[in-house]
Amino acid sequence: MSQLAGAPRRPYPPAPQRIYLMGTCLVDSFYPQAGMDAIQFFQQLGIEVIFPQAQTCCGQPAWNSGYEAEARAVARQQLRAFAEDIPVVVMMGSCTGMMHHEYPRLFAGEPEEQAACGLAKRTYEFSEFLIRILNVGFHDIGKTNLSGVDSPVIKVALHTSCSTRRGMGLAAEHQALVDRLPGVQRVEPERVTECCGFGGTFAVKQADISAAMAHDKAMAMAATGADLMTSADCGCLMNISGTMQLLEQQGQCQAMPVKHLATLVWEAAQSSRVVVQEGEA
Amino acid sequence: MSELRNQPEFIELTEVVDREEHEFADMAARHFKARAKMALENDTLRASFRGASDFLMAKRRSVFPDEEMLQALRDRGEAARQRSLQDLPDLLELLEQNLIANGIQVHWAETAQQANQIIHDIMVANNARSVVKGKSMVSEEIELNHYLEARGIECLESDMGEYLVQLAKEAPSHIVMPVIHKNKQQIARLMHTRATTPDGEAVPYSEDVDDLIGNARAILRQKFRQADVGISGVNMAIAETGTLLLVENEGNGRMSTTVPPVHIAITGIEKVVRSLSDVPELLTLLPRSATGQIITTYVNMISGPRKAEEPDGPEQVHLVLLDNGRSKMFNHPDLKPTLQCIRCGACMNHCPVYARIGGHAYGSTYPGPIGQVVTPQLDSSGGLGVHADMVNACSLNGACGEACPVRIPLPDLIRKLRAEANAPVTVQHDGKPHVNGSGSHRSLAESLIWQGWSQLHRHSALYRLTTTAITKGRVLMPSKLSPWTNTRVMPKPAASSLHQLAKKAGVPSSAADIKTAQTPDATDNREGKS
Amino acid sequence: MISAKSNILGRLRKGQSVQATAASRHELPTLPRLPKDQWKASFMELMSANHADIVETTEAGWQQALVSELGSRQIGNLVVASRAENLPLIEQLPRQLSGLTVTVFDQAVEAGADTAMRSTLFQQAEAGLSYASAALAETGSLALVTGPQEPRTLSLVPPLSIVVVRESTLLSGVAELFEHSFDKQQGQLLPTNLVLVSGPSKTADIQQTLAYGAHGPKSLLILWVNDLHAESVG
Repeated sequence: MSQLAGAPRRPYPPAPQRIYLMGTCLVDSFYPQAGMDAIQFFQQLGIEVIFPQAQTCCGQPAWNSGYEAEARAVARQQLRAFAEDIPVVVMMGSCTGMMHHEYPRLFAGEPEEQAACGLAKRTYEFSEFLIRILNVGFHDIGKTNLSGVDSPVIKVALHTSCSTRRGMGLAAEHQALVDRLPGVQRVEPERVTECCGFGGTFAVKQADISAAMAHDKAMAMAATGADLMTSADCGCLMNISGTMQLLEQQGQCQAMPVKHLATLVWEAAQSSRVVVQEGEA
Repeated sequence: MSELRNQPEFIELTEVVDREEHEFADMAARHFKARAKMALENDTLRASFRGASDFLMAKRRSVFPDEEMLQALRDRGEAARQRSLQDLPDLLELLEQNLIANGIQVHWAETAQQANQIIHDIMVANNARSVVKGKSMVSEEIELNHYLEARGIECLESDMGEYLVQLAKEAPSHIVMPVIHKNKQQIARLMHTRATTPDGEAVPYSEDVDDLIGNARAILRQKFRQADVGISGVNMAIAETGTLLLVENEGNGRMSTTVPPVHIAITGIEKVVRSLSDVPELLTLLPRSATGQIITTYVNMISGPRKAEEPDGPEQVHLVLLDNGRSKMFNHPDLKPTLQCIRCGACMNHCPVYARIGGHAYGSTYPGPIGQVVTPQLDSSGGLGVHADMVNACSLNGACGEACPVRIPLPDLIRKLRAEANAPVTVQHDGKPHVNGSGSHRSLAESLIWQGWSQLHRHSALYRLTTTAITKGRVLMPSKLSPWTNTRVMPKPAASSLHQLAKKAGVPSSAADIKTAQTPDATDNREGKS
Repeated sequence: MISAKSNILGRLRKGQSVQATAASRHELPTLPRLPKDQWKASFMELMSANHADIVETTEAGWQQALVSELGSRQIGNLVVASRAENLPLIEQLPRQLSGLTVTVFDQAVEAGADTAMRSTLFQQAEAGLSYASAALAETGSLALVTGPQEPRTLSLVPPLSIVVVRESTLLSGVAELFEHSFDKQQGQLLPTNLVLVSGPSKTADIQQTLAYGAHGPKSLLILWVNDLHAESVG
């Protein structure tokens, strides 16, 4: 079981009885099973999960493109959807960063400023919540058959998004979470800290540059020889895996399946005993 | 003329060098996206930038072994710059007063044109015909060489990289390492075909770096000795002592500021610090962040021309203080931190976009993240009307902000400039300071898309309806959606959205929905305190 | 341009109320300086890493060390400043080394015109002899205070720069140098040109390949005078 290096970057509450889940718009349409896997995982631990049907998108696409008023209007909807003083667990690092770092700025001087600051304080990224607040441990109970891969240990390539790594400072939490999964060997690609080239509308507005970055990341990812790739940011997942698949079609590399981190966690929970507050006296 | 120049090999190599010059000019004449595409397709260029970025990032890491110390230093660097900016007008006056007391003449220039004219006037007053230049990005910013050459004055760059760039008739591609875009072979061809030894001969072809530097040294020494005027930049101007501080490794900065009878320094108004006690922190950060050095070979602190009893040094020292948009940055509530920059180049060394397209693609004196922020704000640049594409060439990955030694929030500033470029008329006329070209890239189509997007995502019922339609209609999704699918396989929406799945599974949508009944064995897994 | 100045300052004064984004941090504690017992080792290590040659010698022995270095490097023309410390050298060095000419930097390097001194410096001089006012441990640097006794170009133009430095002048770093030597309140003014030298001149402008002797000296020779432990060093 890996030890987590470094002090936490912000104060964390004790494990709560009840949480909100923020699915995010990309998980909603493209990786919904990851959201359900997270919900089931939390429920299995006895945590009540609220999934507000009123949630939509954090507003980041417009904010990053310089459409501040449009972003604010969308963010306001999330203030309403997650109004009660309950921790919010977010399925993606970049959306977490948007809510945690940007909402207070987005609503500075607006009537909702206080609500935005309140929401920012109780918003946590998925791995951050599992490691820093729940401090989960997975005790192997000898049923290792994770992901149906016919091998006692699977090699998982971890991609930590730039917003998770730099925006939220959670690279260590990401690594720790993967390292705690039984039967998983974590590998990371060359130039691990470099951006995959997604960057939201950047991928469309500067398509050539984005494609060049994605190409390099996909090749580096394929070179790890991992059985599958994981991340908690779906923009990166779609970008890297989409590029990898096309490169495979062109015979340039061998692509690998991708899974959201929450899916890996839920699969691990099927074959192990999950404990909360592991190692704390 | 030497016989070397008549050899067929020489003529062949000349053609290669001429072609590269032509390619540069061709690229420079295009728009940002076309330049970026050209750069991306040039494998030699890609290899040069990738190699340089990897090298410089590793070097920087090696001189900041302790993460905590690095962050403590960055805190101090940021504080030192912000302290200076807080008192900027007072410090500039104090600087002027102490420079004059030290015998250094001070000139103020609001625009690039004024700065060029001031420098030219000094040259005319001294009957000067030739200039040897130390490295100065501000002189590039105002296109000084062009201005002086048009008036019959020979301007020679003496920084090795700048000299080679000038030989190639190109522009620097990096603010610290100007010829980072060329490899040894290209430089060997360049020196061989375009440089002339003090004896008027062609330089023998060699790819050996010591030879190349040795040949350039011999040529430039002659020029230092003969030049009428030396021009340099400034890394810090110290107000209390009236001192110009320059850092460098080659010695050309010392040569340019010491050997010719007249030294003209030019700097942006933001480079002033109050006292000597502000220097150590910034001097610790600058070379470490720039080239991974603990200190540069020379730290050259000039506090006056030669005194009567001194045997050498310039007889006149001038400082030109340039605004060119900086005082406007100073007034912008969000973009003011632009002026914290100490021009180390760490942001470009860490930028994955810069690593792929290189400096020339930006089409501006300052490339990379700081270039994306500074360029549209310079009066001489044409503003966002010309440079909005550059501002979009960023994935907001944050590597620059993390590397910046003075904690300039570069991604935030880039995002702010995007907002400026797209600003609607109401914002443009809200009475607050705005960047030149604010609103120039607001397109009806794009703003309608974002308004539509915003409407969709602020009304959750409409949003759910749409995601349901997307998931139901997934079979109808096109398999090609340019530009995404030009280089990627199209992602497929899931059969049902998470909203649908959660609803179907009875996941509560609000606290009020929560039933008392929970999975019976759910709490069994919990250990320890809760 | 008086109007340029007042326009610029006017705009800046208007913007002084605009706060930079981050809260200004005025009261950060100063960073720890290198402990004194590590100064010398740090200086030696950094200077050596930067390709300087260091000869450790004594107050009584440094002139002899200079002779032997000049001899082994076959220096034919040494430029020295006109300063009291050099008088015995000017007299004795040519006697001790038959092939050596010692030129005294005592006339102005005339502006523009290519005078004798300028031509000696650029064409004949093979080495220049300088004296450092201080050595800095944290960066491995020599502080040269220029003036009549230490011309600016003496440590710059000749291909070999020789610098005599005494161990008693060793300081932790640049912060201490400024506090120690250039406190304006105490009337300690900066020289017209204060130079910190941390090795021979160099460049990595061509494909990140390091080359020494870019424009300044190709070599830096430091004569390190152990004046603190004179009795214990032979």
